[in-house]
Amino acid sequence: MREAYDVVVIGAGPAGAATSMLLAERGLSVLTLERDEFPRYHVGESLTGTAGDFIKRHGLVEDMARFDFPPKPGVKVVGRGAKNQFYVPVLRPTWQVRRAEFDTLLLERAVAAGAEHHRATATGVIRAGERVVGVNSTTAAGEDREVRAKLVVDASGQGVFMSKQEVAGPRRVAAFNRQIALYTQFEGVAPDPGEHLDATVIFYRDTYHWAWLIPVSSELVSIGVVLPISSYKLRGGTAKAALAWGLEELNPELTERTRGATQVEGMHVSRNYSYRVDPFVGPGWLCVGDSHCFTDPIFSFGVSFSLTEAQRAAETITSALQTPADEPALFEAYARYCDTGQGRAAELIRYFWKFPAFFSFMTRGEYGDDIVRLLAGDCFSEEPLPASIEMKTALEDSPVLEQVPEGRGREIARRIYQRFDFFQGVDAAFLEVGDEGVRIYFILTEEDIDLYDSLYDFEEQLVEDFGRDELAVFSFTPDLLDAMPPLDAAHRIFDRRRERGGAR
Amino acid sequence: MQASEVNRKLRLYITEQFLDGDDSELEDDSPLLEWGVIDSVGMFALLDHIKKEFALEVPDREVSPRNFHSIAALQALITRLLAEQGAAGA
Repeated sequence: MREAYDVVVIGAGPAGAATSMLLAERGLSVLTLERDEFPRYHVGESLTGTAGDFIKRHGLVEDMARFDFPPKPGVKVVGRGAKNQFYVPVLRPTWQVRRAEFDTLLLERAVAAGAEHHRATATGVIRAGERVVGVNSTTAAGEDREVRAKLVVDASGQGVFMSKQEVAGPRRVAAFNRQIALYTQFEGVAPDPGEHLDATVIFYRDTYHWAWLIPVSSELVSIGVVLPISSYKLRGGTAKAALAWGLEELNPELTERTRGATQVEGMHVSRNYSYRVDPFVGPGWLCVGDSHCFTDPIFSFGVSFSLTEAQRAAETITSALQTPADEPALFEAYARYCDTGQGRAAELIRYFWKFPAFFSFMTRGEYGDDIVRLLAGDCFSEEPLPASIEMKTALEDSPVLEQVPEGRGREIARRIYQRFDFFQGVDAAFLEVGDEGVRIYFILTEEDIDLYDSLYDFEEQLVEDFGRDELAVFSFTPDLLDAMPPLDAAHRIFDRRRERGGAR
Repeated sequence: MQASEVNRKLRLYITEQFLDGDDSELEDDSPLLEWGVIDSVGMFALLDHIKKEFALEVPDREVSPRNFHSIAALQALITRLLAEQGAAGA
C-alpha cells in the first residue's frame, strides 16, 4: 500500500469494484480497500436490464455463460389468487448471478484495469479542515495505515461507513425498515411450471409478506422470505421456523416447487435494511450505492443502481480531479442524479405495496412500457415517465389530505400518509389542528420495542422537518385506548382497523 | 342511467360487500382505499360487478386509484364511460 492515491475506494462490492475499474481505466491511481476475503456469499442475486448493459459494455457477457449464470427473461409476480399475477419481461439481456463469483469477477476486472486492491478495514477519515483528505485503515495483517487521497469513495454498502463516521448524514430509517429477510440457497427446486424459466419470481401474500425465488445456476436456486418483524415473532421468532412457514404458507406454487428441495447454503438474516443517508457527498468524498441508500430488494434494483451510480461517480470524479474548482457543483449534480433514481424506485415499490392490484393493471395498460423501463433500472432520467407521475400522484394526493386545512398541518398529514402506510404495528393515525398546534395520535396494534424505535425515528424526522414547536405526537396501545381524548375533531389519516383479511 | 342511480347502486354494492351492511359512515367522499374498504382482492370483485351491473368493462388505463378512491370518483368514472359508450353508439 502506498501513501497516496488519486482515489481511495472503501468497499469492493459492485459499487466499489465498478467505480475502481472505471477510474483506473481513465488512468487514475486507485486504492480499493475491502475487509472481507473474496469470494464470499452475498445477497442480491437478480440483476436488471441496466446491469446487463454494464456487463455488455465492459466485455463481461462471455463470463456470464462461463459461470453458468442463468439469463434472466423477466420478473413474475404472483399474488393471492389467480387474477393477481403479472409478468414483466426484461428490456435487454441480463442475468441472475451468484454474488460470490460475480463480485470477485468485477474486482478482478478492476485490478486488471490498474486498481490496487488490499484487504483492510477502513477505520476513520483524515481531514484537513472540512475536507476529507485520506483514510485510516487496519490491514488484514493487523497493521494500521494512513493513506492520503485527492478523493474518497464510500462504497461500503450496508456498513454505511461515512454515515457512521459522522462525515455523511445520519442513517434515517425508511419505509421498509420493519421487515426481516431470511434467505439461503436450495438444490432440487422444481422449474417454473409455465414458460418463464429462470425468471425471478416474487410471491406475495399479504402486504410485506413475500418471498423471492431466483435460479442462480443450473442447479442452484436462491430463496428468501421477507416478513414484518411482528409476523416473524408470531412464526416462532427463528429464521428456520420463519423460512419454513414462508415456504408452506406464502403461496401454493412456492410450496409445490420447493417440496423436494434441499437447503445447501447456510441461513442468512437481514433486518433494518431500509434507509437513506443524507447528505452523502461533501468536500473530498462521496457515497456510491448502498452506502447512502437502500430501499427494498423486491424489484432487484440494488446491484443495478450500484453500477449505474458507479458510472456516474466515475465521470464526476474524473471531471472534479481535472477541475477542482468545479467539485462542489459536480458532486451536487451527482447527488441529485442518485436521489432521482432512488426516489423513482422507492415510489414504484411503495405504489406496488399500497396498490398491488392497480400495479398489475399498470403493467398491462398504456403505462406498461414505462413499467418495463423502470423495472429495468432506467429510473434516472431527468424527466419522470408518465407512469411515475401517475404513481406519485396516487401516493401523495389523497382525498384524505384535502380534509386537513392547508398549511403545516396538511404537509405533516401528507408526510404521515406517505410514510406510515408501511409501518407495521400502527393501526391508525389521526391529526388534529388546533390552538395548541398540530397533534398526532397513533393507535398501535402491539407493544414492541422495535416499533417504538421506528416511531421515535419517525418523530425525530418530523421534528427535524417541521420544527418541534406546536407539534405533539401521542401513541396509544390497545390497553390505553380508554385514556385517549375524543378524536371527533381530528382528521383520520389512515385506519387499518376496518380492513378485511390482512396480516396481523 | 342517471348519476343518482349510479350512485345508489354503488352505495348498495359497497355497503353490502365491504361494510357488512352498515352505511352509517359512508359518504360520497369517504376515502375507500385508505379505510381498507376496497383492498386488492375486493377490487377485482368490484370490476366484475361493474361489468354485470352497468354492462361496462373499465379499460386498463382507467383502473387507477384516482378513479376508485371514493364513491364520488367511481360515480364520475362510470357516468363518463357510459356516456362515451353511448356516444360511440355501442
